[in-house]
Amino acid sequence: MKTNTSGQKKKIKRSALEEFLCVLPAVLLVVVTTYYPLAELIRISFTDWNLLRKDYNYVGLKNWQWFFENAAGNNFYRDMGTTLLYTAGSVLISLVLGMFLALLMNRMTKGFGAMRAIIFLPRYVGMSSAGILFLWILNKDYGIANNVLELLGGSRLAWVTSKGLALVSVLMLTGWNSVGYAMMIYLSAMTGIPSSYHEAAALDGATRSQRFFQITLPLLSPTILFLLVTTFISSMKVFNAIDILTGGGPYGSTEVIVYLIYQLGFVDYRVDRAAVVSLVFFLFLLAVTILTMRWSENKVNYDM
Amino acid sequence: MKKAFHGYTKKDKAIYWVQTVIAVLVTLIMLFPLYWMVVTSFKTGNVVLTKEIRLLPDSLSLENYIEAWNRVPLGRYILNTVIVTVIVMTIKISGGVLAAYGFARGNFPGRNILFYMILGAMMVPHQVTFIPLYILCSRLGWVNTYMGLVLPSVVAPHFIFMLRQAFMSVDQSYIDAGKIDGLGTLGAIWYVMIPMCKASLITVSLTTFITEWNSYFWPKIITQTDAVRVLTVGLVHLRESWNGEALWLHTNVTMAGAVITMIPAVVLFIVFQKYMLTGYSKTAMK
Amino acid sequence: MKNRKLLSLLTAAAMTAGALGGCGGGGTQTTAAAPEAQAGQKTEAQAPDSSGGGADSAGEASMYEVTEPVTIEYWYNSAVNEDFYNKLAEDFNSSQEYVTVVPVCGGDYNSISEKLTAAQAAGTGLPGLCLMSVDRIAVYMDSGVCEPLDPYCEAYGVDTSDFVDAFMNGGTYDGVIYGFPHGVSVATFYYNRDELAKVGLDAFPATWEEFKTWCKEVYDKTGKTAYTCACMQNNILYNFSYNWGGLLVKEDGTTGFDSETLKQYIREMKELVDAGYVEWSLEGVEAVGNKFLNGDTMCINVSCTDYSHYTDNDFEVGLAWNYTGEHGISSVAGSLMFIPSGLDQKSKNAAFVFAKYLSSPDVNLEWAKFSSYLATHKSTIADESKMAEIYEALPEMKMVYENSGNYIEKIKTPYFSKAMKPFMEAINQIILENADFDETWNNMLEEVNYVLAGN
Repeated sequence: MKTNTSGQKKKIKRSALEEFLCVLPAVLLVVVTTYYPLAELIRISFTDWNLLRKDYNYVGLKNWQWFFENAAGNNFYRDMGTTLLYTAGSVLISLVLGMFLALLMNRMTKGFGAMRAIIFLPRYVGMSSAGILFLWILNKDYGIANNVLELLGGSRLAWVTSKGLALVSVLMLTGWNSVGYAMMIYLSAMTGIPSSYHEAAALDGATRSQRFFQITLPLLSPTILFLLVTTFISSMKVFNAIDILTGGGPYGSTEVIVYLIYQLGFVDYRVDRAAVVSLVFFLFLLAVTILTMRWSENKVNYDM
Repeated sequence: MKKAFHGYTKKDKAIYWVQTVIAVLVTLIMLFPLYWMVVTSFKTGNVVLTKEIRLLPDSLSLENYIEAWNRVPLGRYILNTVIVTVIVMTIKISGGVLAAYGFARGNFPGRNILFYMILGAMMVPHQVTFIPLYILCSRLGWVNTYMGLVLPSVVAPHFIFMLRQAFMSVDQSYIDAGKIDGLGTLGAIWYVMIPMCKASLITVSLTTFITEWNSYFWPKIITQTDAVRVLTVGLVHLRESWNGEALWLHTNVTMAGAVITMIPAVVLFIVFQKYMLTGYSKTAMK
Repeated sequence: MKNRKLLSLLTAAAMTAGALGGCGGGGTQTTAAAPEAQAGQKTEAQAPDSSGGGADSAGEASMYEVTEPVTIEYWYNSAVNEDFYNKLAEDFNSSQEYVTVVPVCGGDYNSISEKLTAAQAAGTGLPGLCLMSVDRIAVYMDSGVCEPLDPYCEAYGVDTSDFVDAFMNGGTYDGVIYGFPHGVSVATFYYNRDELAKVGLDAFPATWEEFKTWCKEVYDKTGKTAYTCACMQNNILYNFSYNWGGLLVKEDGTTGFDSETLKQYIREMKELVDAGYVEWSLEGVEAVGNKFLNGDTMCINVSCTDYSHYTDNDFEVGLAWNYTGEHGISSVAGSLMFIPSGLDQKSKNAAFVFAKYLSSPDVNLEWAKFSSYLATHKSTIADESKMAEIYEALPEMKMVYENSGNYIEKIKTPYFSKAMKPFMEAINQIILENADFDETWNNMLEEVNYVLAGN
């Protein structure tokens, strides 16, 4: 135990102050950009604020009432359903297709390294450019997708303008954008599996697929969970791809929750309602994250 | 005993080749949209609207790029994007490095609470905070200004988290050595932490640049005129500067704009690949 | 320990700071109250004489008078009219000494709306006079965005009864005047007279039955689409719905779309579309118009203000009124001019002086001749020599003016666009995607009623 002289005490205090000052800017910014808006959302949800008017009144639980009683009418359920459907597709693409790609590209040569980089590349093409590109590719009358389809004997499809295919088109765009990421995550986890496991199993006569299902997959379960949660949450938040590719249409078939919030706030000018939907959405995401973290502590196989 | 590299069975060889072929095919398919974007941006005239599939442009003229440049103030958009990205990077990175240091090595009361506050903020997405932030900006008169554009992006909780991990892994002895030489807090950061955590810092900086360069949602909301429009929003603006049929007739010009928009991020990725790829996978696995 | 408490206090304070800062109603409420106080005063003072710029009357200067140099912006929508407005502003500015008007093209109505809202929240950058479409103005009027104009009209002796009723009604709400009509139009049919004359079909059908046969014959004889409808335009669909016997809003506030007549007409239109005689297009007006100009379709119905755009080509174009279904109306669309209520008083006064000028019979006549928007004054329309000027510039507009008995204002509800959306989507799904008629229709009725109930 050292005894602190007063000089040393001062030094400690001063460096503690300095360290506190170091974190202060970031903390303040976080408060302004995250906690303040959250508090505001709660406050606004208790008003009747229409952005066109200058003042507003506090109306208690009126908007919350509106939300719960009219959820069907205000399209919340429909949009939630659409968002969940989209998320399901997106998760499927990331988890399954990503896994497939990871297995496929699992060779440590320069050539394969280059190919992996190419597959990862779309992530860096901003959604704005990518969206406009896909609008062109999926154009019904002149786009190359339909040109190829016709060449192969099929008929031209209204990718982006028909109710049934619009969501599929969005999934194609975001899938192209994000499958590389899933692949890389799987790959880096796979490199952590000692090859001795596979060799030992091969010696015992296990086939490739047996080795996959009984060694690789279980050992990858934390990775799979990680990807599941992150893809789920980021897919629920989708907006850019939809805004550029379909604008929420046709007939509202690609209207997702964030789009609904945007519409309520900036088209209907009813920020009070937008605040309610934002809060419900946020709580939903929070609940999902916490629940999966709890669940994972039980189910995931960590032993190596 | 299976010998390591000799006794490949026929089956193994077949699998090897099948794997290679499929891998190449898949890569080509993934690459194709980008290839198509670039090729279309060089096509001239009405070639764009044919139903035949022309895989190569007839010439490599920069006609479309020039037209895109003239049609909308593309130069201005690039300038705005650069300005905004630089400002965001400066604030985000300096604030982040400072905070990461404070949380990693600091010992002051309240440190854990504040850190959890920052972590907690990771859970709150932009898509939830944008409306109050927009209202705040319009009250402050920051709509359609650089200040407004920059505001939501100036702090990144998960960079602070990542950097903190990196800083925590630096051995205390280095810092002690520094302190003996008379370094204060800032000196410790500048002369010890940063050099030792170069890789993480580069990854963080690159990711910040690319995220900001490609950001679309918030700029779209806060921008009203060309004075502060950035490339991502400007690209959509370019596309919509034609109506109806003309919009598709000018796809090649729009693609030229798209290429210009995506070039910096893509080039950075290609050059700094190793930072981007490894950085992600390691730290992502909390 | 102290630091920790301090920190939590700070954080808590930061979070509630929002609540304090948010009571922004305080500051702005005073300015909102002021005009009312002034209006109260106004009734005592006498109305000053008008004729632009500071003419004084019995002693007291009215608070609506312009007494010092003021510069205001005028936000208009289409860049096509830039030259006209610039010249207009020049003339106006030089005709009097205090008010300087700067015309600014604000982009389309969406753009203008966004800019206006942001300017309103920030309290600066508001235009003096602003154009807005008839649909949205209803929302604005309902939300207090527009300055009530009655006291100004009184102060400047403006008689609004000379405006055509259907047009003026679009600018009044709850009995208060908020805006003057400016760019008023109705939708009409444009048809390719040359091509149709070649096959002897250039007599435009006058009834629905005639329309059906006409479409089939045009298709059979020319091989081209007889008629293309830009089905995303809510005024076009509103016209159809009205003419086909379905009222958007009935007296009791619910929707009249649950009409069997309306459904029957839609079925018959769908048959025409399925047979290929009629094209039901999701594209915008421009794209549809291009098809017409390229000769791919023989007839379209769009706003009468696109007159010069469509007639300025190498084939002769005829204009025709809507065929008669249950009715033969065309609804009034276009823009109104209004003054944002968030402005300071002297700018508002200046804006009104300009508004008066812009909407005056003479200026409006020039506007009508240039833009093929409709003349807005009854006195103009009744004056044969003035109409002759219009007809000389735009011959086919005669037909449009002659049908003025069939203009109808859109039902004034701030929820017009919002209520029309489910209706349009339902029709488009039924016609284009073969959706189940009754199911889609019933869902639509529910949605429309939900919106009309004020949700």
